[in-house]
Amino acid sequence: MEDFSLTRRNLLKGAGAFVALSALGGLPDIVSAGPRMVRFPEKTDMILLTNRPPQLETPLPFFKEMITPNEAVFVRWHISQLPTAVNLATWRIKVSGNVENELSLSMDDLKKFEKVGYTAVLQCSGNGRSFAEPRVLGGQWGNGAMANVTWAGARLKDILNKAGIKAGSVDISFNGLDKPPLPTVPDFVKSLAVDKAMEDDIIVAYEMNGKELPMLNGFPARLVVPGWYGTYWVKCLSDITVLAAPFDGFWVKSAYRVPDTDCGCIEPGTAPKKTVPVTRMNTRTLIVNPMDGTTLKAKADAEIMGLAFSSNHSIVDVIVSVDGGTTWKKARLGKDMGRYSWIQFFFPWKPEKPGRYTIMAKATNSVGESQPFDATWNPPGYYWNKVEKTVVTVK
Amino acid sequence: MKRLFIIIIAICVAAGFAFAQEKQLTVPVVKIELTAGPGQEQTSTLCNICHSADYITMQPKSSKATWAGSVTKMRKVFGAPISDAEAETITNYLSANYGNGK
Ligand code: HEC
Repeated sequence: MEDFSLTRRNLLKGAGAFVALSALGGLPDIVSAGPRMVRFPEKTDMILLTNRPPQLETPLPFFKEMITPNEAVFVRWHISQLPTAVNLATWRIKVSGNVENELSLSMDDLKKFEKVGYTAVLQCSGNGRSFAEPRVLGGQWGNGAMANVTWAGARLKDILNKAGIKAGSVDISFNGLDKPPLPTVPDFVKSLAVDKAMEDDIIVAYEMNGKELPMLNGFPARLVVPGWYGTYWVKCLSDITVLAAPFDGFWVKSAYRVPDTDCGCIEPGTAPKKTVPVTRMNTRTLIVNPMDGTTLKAKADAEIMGLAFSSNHSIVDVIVSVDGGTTWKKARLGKDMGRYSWIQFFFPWKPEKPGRYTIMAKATNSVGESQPFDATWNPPGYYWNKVEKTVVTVK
Repeated sequence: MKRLFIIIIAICVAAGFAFAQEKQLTVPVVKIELTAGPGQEQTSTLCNICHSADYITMQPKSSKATWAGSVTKMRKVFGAPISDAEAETITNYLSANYGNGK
């Protein structure tokens, strides 16, 4: 339970910080050249990956902010029949299967459970897929399939305890309101082992940054599995089913799997011998300022800034290099918003001589997990976390 | 008068803090043009049934084997209603227009 339960005051402080940033004009201008930008309902201008089902990427400048505003949080759906409307008068979460009491929970019922919250990174397992070499098919995300959001809702465990899980239960499956375009396409259903599902910190969230969820991010409620990749964070949640046998749906058994090796990676271009489901996020950083390919002035103060996060362990150290990895120094870490949140790092820099500089940043978490210098690879293009290089020109 | 005022405040407060009772979603349709060439028509039609054609256009330029594998996956795994002949036409089209020459 450490650094889990946020008080309502802390929650509000998080939301307040965002409002203040927006008021100061902290929201970025969107670059019009290059990627195709679209504005979908309740969202800001986002990078279009796909239209139907929608996959929208967050433009890089938003990562200067500690909390990602709701309208800028990336969007990722799998099957194209999205709910066109949700009415809270009729929407329910049905809890059924191997339980003592079936439940049909309205939003009011959900709000009767203790309300808990925390700030946690939501990241797609395919974030960074477009950097994979050799390239692989799939959503061609840059770095923008991640967000740091303050979530609030009811503990999944409290809901499951109310339903009463019967002995012999193995997995719990989660379904949302999205439906397949043809009956032959498997419905998007995910599962967690009972022990995982009963962890304290998994919530059914009905608030993002103190507000209701945008439809495209899962209104009225979505599962939040902090520390694990977004594939489990089922949107527009409608069914929780307790199962006495292992879940064998397509999106767990055949999709979202990585090679069964320590890094989830294999020799580029080869095929894995055995695969396991995607689970915990690995450790990663992103340098947000300066941006790759930009030009800085010699002898002028510059600040290298970025973010770092690592599943369920706090980042304790970020080191920065401005000479392509030859020498490293510790960066200053920003406000700690808990082990599921990202942390910002800052590194003052005054380049003396003109030239090309390669900036790198490497994070380590409280149990010593860090990032590889060389890219790792797997066939679906998951788990991208290599130490990034940002190249700038100083004039 | 005074009584009415109180009721209105109560309604405003409820509306301000409560959730929207109903939310709607209409996803805008974005026009996606596939490169002109033999097989474009079949590809635009058949690869547009379950998802938009930008599932093709966003991909890296890929080998013919990779595209053939993708078309097979759509048919075998997702049940795409595509015949053997159509699959061949589409694979040739994809490798000619979204290929890497391999
Ligand atoms: C029967 C439905 C259906 C049809 C028809 C279909 N697809 Fe797909 N396709 C899917 C589904 C489902 C996905 C997975 C979507 C996701 O995860 O976002 C997908 C994903 C893809 C991807 C991304 C890589 C992957 O495998 O997830 C590519 C590329 C693709 N389709 C190409 C095609 C092409 C080319 C055609 C025409 C030959 C086609 N699709 C027709 C259902 C279909």
